[in-house]
Amino acid sequence: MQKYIPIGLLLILTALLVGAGCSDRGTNVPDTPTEYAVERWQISPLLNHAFSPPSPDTTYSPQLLMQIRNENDIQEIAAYIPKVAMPAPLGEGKKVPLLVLLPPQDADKYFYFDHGLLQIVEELTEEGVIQPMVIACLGNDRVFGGYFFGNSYPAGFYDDIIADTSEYGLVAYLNSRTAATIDSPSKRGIGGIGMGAYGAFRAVLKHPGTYTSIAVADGPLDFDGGFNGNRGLIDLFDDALAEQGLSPANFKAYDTSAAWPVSRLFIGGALAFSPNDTACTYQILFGIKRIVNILTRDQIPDSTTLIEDVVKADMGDWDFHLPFDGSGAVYEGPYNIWDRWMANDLETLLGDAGAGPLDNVNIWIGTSPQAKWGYHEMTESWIQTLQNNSYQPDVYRYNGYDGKPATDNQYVYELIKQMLIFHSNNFGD
Amino acid sequence: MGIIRIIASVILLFGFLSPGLLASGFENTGIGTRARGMAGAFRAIADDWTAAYYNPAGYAFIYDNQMGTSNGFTHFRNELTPDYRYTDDFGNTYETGVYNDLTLYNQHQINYMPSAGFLIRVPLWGETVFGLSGYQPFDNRLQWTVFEPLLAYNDSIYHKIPADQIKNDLDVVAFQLTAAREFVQDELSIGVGLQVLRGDLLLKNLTLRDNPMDSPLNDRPYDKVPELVTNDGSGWGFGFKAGLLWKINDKLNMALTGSVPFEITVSGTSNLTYIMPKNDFAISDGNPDRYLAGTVEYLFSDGQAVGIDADYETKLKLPASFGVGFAYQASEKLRVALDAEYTLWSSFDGFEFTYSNFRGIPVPAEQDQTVTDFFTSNLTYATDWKNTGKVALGADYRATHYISFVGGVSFDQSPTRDTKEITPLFVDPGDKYGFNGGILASVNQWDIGLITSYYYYPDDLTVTGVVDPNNDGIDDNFPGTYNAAAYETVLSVTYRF
Repeated sequence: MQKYIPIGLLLILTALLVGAGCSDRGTNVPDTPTEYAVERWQISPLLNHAFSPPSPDTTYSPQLLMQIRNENDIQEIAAYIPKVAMPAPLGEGKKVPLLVLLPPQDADKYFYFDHGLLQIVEELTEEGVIQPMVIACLGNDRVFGGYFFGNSYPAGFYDDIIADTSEYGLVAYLNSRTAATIDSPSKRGIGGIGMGAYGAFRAVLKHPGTYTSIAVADGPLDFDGGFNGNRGLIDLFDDALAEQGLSPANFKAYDTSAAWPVSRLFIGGALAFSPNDTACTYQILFGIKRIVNILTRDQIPDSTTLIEDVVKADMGDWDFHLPFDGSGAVYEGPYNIWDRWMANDLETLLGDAGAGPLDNVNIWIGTSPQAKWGYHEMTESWIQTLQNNSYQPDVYRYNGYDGKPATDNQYVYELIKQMLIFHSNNFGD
Repeated sequence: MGIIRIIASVILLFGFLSPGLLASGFENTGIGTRARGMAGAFRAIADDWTAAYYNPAGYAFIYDNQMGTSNGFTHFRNELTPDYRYTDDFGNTYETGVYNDLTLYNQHQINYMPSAGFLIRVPLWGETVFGLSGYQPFDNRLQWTVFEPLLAYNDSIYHKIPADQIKNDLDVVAFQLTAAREFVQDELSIGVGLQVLRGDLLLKNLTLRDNPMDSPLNDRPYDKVPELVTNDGSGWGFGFKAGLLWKINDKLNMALTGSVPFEITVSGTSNLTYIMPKNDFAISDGNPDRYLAGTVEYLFSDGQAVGIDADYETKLKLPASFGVGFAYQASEKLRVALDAEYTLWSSFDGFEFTYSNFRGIPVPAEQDQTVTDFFTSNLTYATDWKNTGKVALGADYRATHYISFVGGVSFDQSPTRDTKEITPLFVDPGDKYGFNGGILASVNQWDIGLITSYYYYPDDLTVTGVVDPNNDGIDDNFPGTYNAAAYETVLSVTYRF
């Protein structure tokens, strides 16, 4: 009998193995929508819009007509439209406030959606924390990652797009396209992060009265750092050179094709603030394919920091002057290159805007000491400037956590929440 | 009369041959309980009807007639944690609807793998042993649910798309006529097997196709159109197997084997189902710029499922393999064996489905050649597999006159090593170890056996980033982390006469 014991044990072990190995685990597929399924918004992407002159003889700003490698003049836009604002039968057709969000450098129209915008806005709306609003998110330029939302031929004329309320601007376009926004400055807000923060303030200062609330987080809000006039972007000159391994000897080899983030910051800025072409005249020929002929060009006759042969420019030679030389020092030269940048500094724009450009604007600014590229220092300097001019922005200072510093976009999710609440409160009832 | 019934039963079994698997790629691990219990180290033993699979030369040294059958019951416990995301121009990743970051299991199935055969010694050309057997040299059966369209893409079909989104049911059955004879009395034999191969392929797959429309209709989240394809067909081919068995001395045997299956052309019918984008606003009456019904723009906005039937053809390129084995009679009761096999998996380059005779193309699509091409394009699931080696060590111990114990371990390379072209269609994520053991009993003329096996993959395989090396616009991998394990139990009965 004993000789059968090993056989019996073996059979029992086999049965256990088979039983354990063949149990049904299911598939682990969720029964309800998961966070992986809710990347959604209501109307995007049909809001992409071509910003270009309406006719050949227009005297209106060319907007994106000559922007590098944007031959269809497209400004990318994605928008969230709350259900109540959707046209019947999808919704109730109710008009709601408008919030415009500008992206940081190297971010597209999905940047805020990618950081939880939809979940946040639906959750806060459902809880009654914020009121329903249309949120239009702009994409940044895809070639150089962004032009500071400034004004120039190669960069585009963003002032006219973002903040001009004429029939060719963004606000008018959104009103006509969605029929969902309340056409009133008191029901319009704007915001941004990084380069978008600069763009938002720039828009408000260039066209006072278009937006009455602004909420931004760390960005290049003071080009020279403010406190001693020798910091801010100036601190980044060396970083741009170091990124590319450039020295005074090979400074002119500044690479416009690679993904150097700091270098791209200055390429975008230079094309907006210190382009080689300061003005031009042009002719548009409408045929099977639109043709733009540049007739005359006013150019800066200084080659010291001129970077030529911008990669793959599709129209003309859109060269630019860097605001620093091969040693990383500020470059002015006979044509005031750095001053051209400073003319676009927010502090300058504030002074140029006349009396009280922000008098009726509620301001919220988020900042973290860990923000990259000295943005925190620049932001604090701008806050100081505002306070010196009798404005009292709401300042939201925050830090990252251990192991998760707020050096880049790690806390955008939190910032969006704060921004939405601020804007909603400002919109009033 | 009893024998006739048994033969009839064996032949009937051929009609039910189906799934199993488990060597590298989608090669079957083996048949029979003694061989399987010894981890497949059976080439230099080859002393029962299963020699048709391991080494046809073994038939020459079998002096009784045999018929037998075995059936393997296999359960794959694979896991996939998808990371199937796309990256935009700025380096941001975004979702596709795949259940990313969730650990998914292949759908529960017990796959069975019958095989059967008989051999008979005939006084022809001296003493030649002939046999007829049926078994599955290649096999794969896996089924996954991995995807739900993004609500932003189409919120009207939630939980309405089928669960068997990715399915690979591939069976290759060999009907093999084997002949073997001794060329040196009691010392050297050679055997050959001529195979008729039957291939059956039921393949379902999810493909995220580039939306052929222009911006803004193809902007996110509408940039990818999910295509669920079902290909069901079969085909015939031929194969050849040969072996040599050399009894070096009373204790030591050596064997050499080779197997060359030829390409099988598989043809059948397909259903191509496209889950179209649903953009309410684009077609809403409240939108002054809405797309009107009957236009191709409407087709790409109204969220319907477009189903198209077609015929298909594809080539199944099966790998040749070569092996060597040794067996040593260590004592009167103990025998050990060592086998090595090399399989040319590099000859398998996936599937390229060529479609024709389309039925059901939407009328608006026919107005635009680009869109027509989108709905009628061929699909390629390319692989870049490597050749593999396998080593098996086994032993059998005759405990009593009636009872034997068998055991073995194996090491098997994966053909998918060093490649990013990994999909849930074939889950062989890395080198694996097989552990096998069981018991055999002999009662009069009957042998029965029971063995169980466990296959262990020590390493997870993580595939990052979507790739399309052949630039056909169809992703050739399914990024994520793969993990696998398998259990198998084999039962066998052999009758000697």
